[in-house]
Amino acid sequence: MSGARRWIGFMGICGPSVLFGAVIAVCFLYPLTRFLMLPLMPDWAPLPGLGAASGPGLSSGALWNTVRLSTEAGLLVIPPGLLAGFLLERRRWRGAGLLSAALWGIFLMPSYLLTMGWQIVVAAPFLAGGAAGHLLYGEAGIVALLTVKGLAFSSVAARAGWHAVGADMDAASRVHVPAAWRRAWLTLRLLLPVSGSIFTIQVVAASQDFGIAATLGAQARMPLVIYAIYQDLSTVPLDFTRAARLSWVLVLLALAALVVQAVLARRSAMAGGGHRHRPGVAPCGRGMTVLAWSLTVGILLAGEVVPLLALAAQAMGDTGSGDALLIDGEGWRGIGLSLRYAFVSAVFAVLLAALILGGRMRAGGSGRVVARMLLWLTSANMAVPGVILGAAYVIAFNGRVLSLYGTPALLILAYTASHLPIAIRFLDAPFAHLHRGLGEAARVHGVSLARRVERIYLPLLFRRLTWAWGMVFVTLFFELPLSEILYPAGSAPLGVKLLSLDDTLHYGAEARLALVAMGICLAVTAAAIILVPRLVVGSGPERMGGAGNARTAPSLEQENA
Amino acid sequence: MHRLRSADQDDGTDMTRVRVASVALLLLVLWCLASLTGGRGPGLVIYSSVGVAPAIVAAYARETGRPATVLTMPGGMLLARVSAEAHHPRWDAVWFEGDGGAVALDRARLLAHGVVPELDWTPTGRDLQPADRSYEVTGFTLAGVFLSRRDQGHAPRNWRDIMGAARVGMANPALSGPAYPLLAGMLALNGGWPAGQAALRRMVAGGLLVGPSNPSVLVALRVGRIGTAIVQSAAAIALARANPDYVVDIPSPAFVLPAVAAVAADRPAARQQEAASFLRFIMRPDIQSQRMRQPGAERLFWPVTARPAQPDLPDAGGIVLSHPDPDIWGPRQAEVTGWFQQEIMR
Repeated sequence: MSGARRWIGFMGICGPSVLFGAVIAVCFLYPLTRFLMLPLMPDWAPLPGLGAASGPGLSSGALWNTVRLSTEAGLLVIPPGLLAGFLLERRRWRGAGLLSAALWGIFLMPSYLLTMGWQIVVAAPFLAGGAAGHLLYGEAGIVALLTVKGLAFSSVAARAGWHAVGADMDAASRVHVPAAWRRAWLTLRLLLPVSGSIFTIQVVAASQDFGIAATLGAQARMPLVIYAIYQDLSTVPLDFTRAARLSWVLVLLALAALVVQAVLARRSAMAGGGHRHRPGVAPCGRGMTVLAWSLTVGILLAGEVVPLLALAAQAMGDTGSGDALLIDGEGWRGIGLSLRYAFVSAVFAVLLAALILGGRMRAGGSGRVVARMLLWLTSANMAVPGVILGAAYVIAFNGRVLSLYGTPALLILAYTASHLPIAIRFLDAPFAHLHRGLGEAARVHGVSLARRVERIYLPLLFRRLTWAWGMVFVTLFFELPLSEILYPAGSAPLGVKLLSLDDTLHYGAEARLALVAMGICLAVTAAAIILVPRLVVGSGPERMGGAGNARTAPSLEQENA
Repeated sequence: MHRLRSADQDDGTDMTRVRVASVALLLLVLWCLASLTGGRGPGLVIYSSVGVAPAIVAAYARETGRPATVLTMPGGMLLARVSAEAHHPRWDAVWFEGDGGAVALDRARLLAHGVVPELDWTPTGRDLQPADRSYEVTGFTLAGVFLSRRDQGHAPRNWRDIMGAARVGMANPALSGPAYPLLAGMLALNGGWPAGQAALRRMVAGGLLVGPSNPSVLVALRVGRIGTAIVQSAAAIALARANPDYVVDIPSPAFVLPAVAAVAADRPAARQQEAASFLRFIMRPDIQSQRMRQPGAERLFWPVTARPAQPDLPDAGGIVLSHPDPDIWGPRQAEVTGWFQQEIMR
């Protein structure tokens, strides 16, 4: 009897961890191990590549290009990223909303459409064959586009960094450090960990960006590892083993970056430490206003206005191949499918992320260890781009057991698994800021877990959960590499449809479909992240988004502490 | 404490909202899952790189009342996907261009034998059909004709011209289905494999542009980056007819690019029968006529059966045709395209 009770107790404590462990094992460990072990076990490949012997493997050119370009993009994104974070977190000015929207716009813009827009621009008669074309179809163009694309994530990390340099630190430095330049230097040193974090995230993101590598990289004859892997998986000669060898390079590069980031985060925690007050928001000086508007306009032009206008011009002007100026049934179907795939997968990813991060908050030591391990595993999965995960899924789920390949279920699984790390990264800080005393006090007073979630955690976190959902939804809506590898028969998502229009020279139709899809995606996401929290938690305690009302949650925590 | 007390007062309303929202979310997720995974199955699944496939598959589904789904993708990707799925295929039939690829798939034991119908073939058509009836040739185009801008001074007219010409473009055989038979033909014309490599290296030295697909090569031609594109006949002829700025030269010899259809070996017998009936459907005279009436470039193929005749193209009898032997060049495809990727695309 007592044994059974002990078992139930054990399951109560470890059950969620066991469940997450199983999810991680099925989604990541099993397929990735099977794929990445191919260099050692070549017999595990589906077919020995239509008769080809596996090539020598590592292309030193692609490897060097990837490391160099990612590092350049990682360094380049730090100054504008920090500036954007500063302007959004520390300064009050009229363009803050626009800057925020511009960054969201960049995040929303799939890199293959960003590239396509700029390609249309430099193909214009007055630019064709000129310096602009040479710049775009070269290292400068690729690094510039990677940097623009990386601004969205960098500014999120930078905001967190500026937030971490709390008001106490500001006040202390004002009292103890008289020279303004030394105060600025001190702030910069405090921001070093977050700069490192921005750099590493960008290096990983840039080395894994498929859209730019597949378009500009391929056409500029600048082979990049991510595209070389895709070619090994999707073109003749098919070579899973060499793809696995190349994948190791990307995985190790990203893991190294993540280790650096973890070390920096620890340093940051030690330097900042303790409880912080939220820093004040000051008005902008004249110089800063000019800088702020330059940054905002620059981001808007490079990341959205110019490529979108180019796409729009193409959409209106080019009706070649007898296309009507309307989206056809297949296009609408692609949008509908992507809406559903992305919605469901984003919900799953955010729920799983919340469960894992919630598990970390548990008091029990074992639960925390397992949760920490899972957190690491999912962080490590950031090292695995969609192309690698897709290849791993083809091998793992195309046998007699777990025969899911070619079904919508596998695509949803892949979408969820690939975007779980993004959701975890995004929700990490809000969950970490939740004071554990809140839940523990309620637990001591006999409040059940369900009620604690309902009354305490959900109201405090709902807005952040919806934002995390929005981020995941937007990226999944236009997702390309996983969709391309795993889409089920008759249910091709939007990315596949767009690429197929591109392949068949229907550029006008492609541009039209892309623009309509962007509009729909934007409308759905905006409705979800603006309306849903208002409807569900109303003017409740959690208002972390705006500057004026963001004090509520921390002040609640302090009252309980 | 004041805040917590006010929160307590609103507790009931808040909790109702949260519960309603949770139920709504759950229902929405369930509806999405049901609509994505449930419903009518895909039926007969056809992987195709032939542009006309969606229209023909739709006609098949309409006529038979049985569901059929087509996945269109570039030829190279189709071969890769089929070999990735290997002996657990999700496809019932494939329809793509290039009999070399079909021979390679057949050597990997992925194609069912003896399911191809016996028809009233033309002499060329009969030559193109494989002895083991592992695939069916549904028609042919030419792998590489010369599409030049009219404003270009000396447009290349034959293979010797093109080998020495500057500003020439072709598609990458790793990605584009029609490009491999073209490459095979060019190599065969210059001494075979590996002797023909030297000719390709000379073309690279002369500034050969390799685009990822036929359309991208056409774009390069349109914007003036190249003066001549070596592309598939259907695309070239369609563009030249629509736009008088371009002129098509059919070289001698011209390389035959057969479109082939085949049935998966590792599918249940009933599905194989269904796929075989689709292969017969493609070749029915009325359906071939329908294929010849399609808009765009898709209709511009030469039939391999006596009926119907192609009204829109010159008689194939007047063209010197060369057919790179798929039994030789098919199994070599991985090696040749691998070399091309490493040496030419570098």
